[in-house]
Amino acid sequence: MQAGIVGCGIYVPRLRIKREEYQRAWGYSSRWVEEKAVADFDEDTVTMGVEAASNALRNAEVDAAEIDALYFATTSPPYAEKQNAITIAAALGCGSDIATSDFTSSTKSGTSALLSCLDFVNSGRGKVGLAVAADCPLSDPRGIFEHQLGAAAAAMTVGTERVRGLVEGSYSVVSESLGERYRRDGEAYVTAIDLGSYHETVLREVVRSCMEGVMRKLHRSSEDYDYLILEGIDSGKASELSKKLGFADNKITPSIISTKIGDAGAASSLLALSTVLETVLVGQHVILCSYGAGAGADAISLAATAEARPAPGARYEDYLTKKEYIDYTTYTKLRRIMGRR
Amino acid sequence: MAIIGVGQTRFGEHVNLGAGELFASAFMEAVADAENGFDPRLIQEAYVGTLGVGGGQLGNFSALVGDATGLTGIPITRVENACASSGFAFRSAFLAVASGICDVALAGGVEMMRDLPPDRLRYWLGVSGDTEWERLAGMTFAGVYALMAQRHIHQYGTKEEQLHMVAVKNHKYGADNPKAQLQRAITLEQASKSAPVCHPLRIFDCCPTSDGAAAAILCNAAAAKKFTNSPVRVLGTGAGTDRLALFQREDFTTLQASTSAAKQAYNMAKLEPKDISLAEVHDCFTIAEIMAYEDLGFCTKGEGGRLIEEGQTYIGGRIPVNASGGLKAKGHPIGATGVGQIYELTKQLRGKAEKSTRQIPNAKFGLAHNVGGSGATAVVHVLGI
Amino acid sequence: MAYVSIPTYSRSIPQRYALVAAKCKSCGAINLPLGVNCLKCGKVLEYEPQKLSGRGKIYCFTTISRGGSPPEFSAQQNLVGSYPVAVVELDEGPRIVAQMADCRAEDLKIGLEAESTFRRIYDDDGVIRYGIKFRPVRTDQGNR
Repeated sequence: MQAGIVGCGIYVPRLRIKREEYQRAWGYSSRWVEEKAVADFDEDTVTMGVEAASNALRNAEVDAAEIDALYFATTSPPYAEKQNAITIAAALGCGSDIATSDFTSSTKSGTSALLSCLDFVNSGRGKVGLAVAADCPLSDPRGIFEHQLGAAAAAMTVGTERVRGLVEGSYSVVSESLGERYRRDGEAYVTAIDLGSYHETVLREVVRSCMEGVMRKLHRSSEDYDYLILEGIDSGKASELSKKLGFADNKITPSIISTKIGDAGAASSLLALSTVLETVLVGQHVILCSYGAGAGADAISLAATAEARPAPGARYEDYLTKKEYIDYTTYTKLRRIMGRR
Repeated sequence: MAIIGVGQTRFGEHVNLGAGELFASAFMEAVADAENGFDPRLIQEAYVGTLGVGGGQLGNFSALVGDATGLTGIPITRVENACASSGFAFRSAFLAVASGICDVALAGGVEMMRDLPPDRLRYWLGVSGDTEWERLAGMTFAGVYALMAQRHIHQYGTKEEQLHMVAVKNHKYGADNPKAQLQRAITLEQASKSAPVCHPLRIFDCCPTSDGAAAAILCNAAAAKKFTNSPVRVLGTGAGTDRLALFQREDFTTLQASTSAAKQAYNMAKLEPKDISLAEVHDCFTIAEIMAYEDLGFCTKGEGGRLIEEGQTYIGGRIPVNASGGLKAKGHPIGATGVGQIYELTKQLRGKAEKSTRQIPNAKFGLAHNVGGSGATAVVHVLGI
Repeated sequence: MAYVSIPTYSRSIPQRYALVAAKCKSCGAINLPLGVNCLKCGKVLEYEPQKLSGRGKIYCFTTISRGGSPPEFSAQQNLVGSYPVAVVELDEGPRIVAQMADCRAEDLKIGLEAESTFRRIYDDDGVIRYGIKFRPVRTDQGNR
């Protein structure tokens, strides 16, 4: 029996900040982000992960005690050393004999965690796994790159029974692309050197070869898919890339992250996948490709085998409307930019 | 058993004194108060209440008291039950004399609170609630009483204004008490408009932080006449406890420790609430006084707001409460408050209230009500002349 | 200094993180937090663990104004000012005290439905102390 996604859940923090606030504060702003989500003072990637994971368990109708593995992905863990996955497991009420791991250092670690979770179940090591991704990256407030960094979490319950999204196959490509987006040990801010066309070329190549790789492996072509998800890549590039791969424009999931939530790092791909799975019909196919600068890409092909409608209150639309706007000064206090610890 | 002498410093600010010196001054006043002459070397046991705010001398505080008072040598015990520390110290002294193990005992209390930086003070203000669950939720001492106030309002229709009326009364009497910290009357409007602390409590609903000390000397009734012509008899003592955390109690609008302590004290004294001429109750927050009216039997449950609104707890009313100004205006040096109440009652029962405007006419029986923290401990004494 | 040590905090993690309560084997009452004796019948607490739903109603609440909090929360107050705290009566019976999140005191009233949320409470000994806060249930969102 092949493992697949049994349920999914997301979480977007309540606080939001509009582009106008940035414009007012700096006199310039990123055109990619209309508004974005901001973690509150008492939230971090672990607390957001717990919210998304609770929703994923409820959606899958799986009890925390049934979880055999929990993998947590983020580029902004509260602890650099002291596993964060365990805190999430304890908050959910999982048992004490589970396999856990943190997946960090790249925005593609979300899909990596999901793939490892699927491997865990497929190998027979356990019956049910939970892949959780959450992020709220931080960067230098003076850079336009910081404007688009948001906050969100997504989680997928993985198993072989009552599968809603069967994972047909995956493909991974690595790329030692330097300087694109990184954070040195001990640094608080992630840096993105804008080498323009150099990095763009790398990204295009990596994503293209990854997508082609999975389609080749499964003897598929772009026409077989109803949904294409390319998060973590700005929508201009995504559109160009998908055309080259033969995908019609209407197949591309609009970049939700870029306009409403901001760059949610390791959680971006899984968050986009969750929103697609909310509305996908049985028999439809989804292809996803994540991208991590200086890491590479994971492509995943899925077939919808059952519906997985989230409960009222837990849908993407609900999280979009559950919001409160803050101003730029409040933002800097919450992000610990003003008065850093 | 009787009280032969009492002493109390002014409550307020004494940052130039140490805790030992502060206590010594109250002690010496108590000794001198026994007007027929009293040799302090007759004291055989001493009980001193203090929370130890600031942590200046947490261990063996008794020995520090001995050094400061010249009582070194006799058994001295530090008693701690948060804000009820010296009330319990007084009870311990009573039990010691009643047991026959000694004839003369000293009870007192002292606290220094105003010599600390704000963060340190806030640590100490929170130590008497439940640490593990209440404090970890970010709850504070004022917060817990605010919750009680909200429930009292919700369950009984008590009005926020009635809370402020308690403050107005106590400030009126504090203004006439030379030993009080706050000697300025306030209006109801001032109280109602003061800055919010924890809704529905405002600044004037909360007692201040204070330095101060108080002392009382007890001996068996037979010997008392030797030392004073007006010994004040201790007719009853009662004490009780409740769950440490407010949220674990059934009813937030009453302190079962107070109710049970009062019952014991009344029974021992063979008196009823209506026999009491005046009471000094534990108004760390105005709601605490309203709840005390009910818990001590001065009115039925839920009627506390009405009692203050009708003026029944003013001098001249049915049951004058906190003619000293209470904790609200007289001040609340945590470890000293309990015996401070004994001080006021003793003066009143002897007809010697400081400033005769505060004297309750024909005072016969007095009640002191001292509570620790949010009601986890409480002790009640009934005195008579 | 009043202080919750790491061992003290850690042994109550199932209660603090996941609202795992104790169902008294003698009388069936749900106890949270765990004590030596059952809060209801007073017998020594022998129990079945029971993870609570996290749903309840506000029993009472107040706001801790700026400058009033225990010093463990000074950093929080310096950042966000005053914060609401409430006693929530859980559907299964016990009442617990916690901060209210995602709301202002003006939004609260006695009887309001609330649900638990896992949050950072404070830091001490270099360790993040996570725990439960509550937030109002939005009436237009349906049941969890």
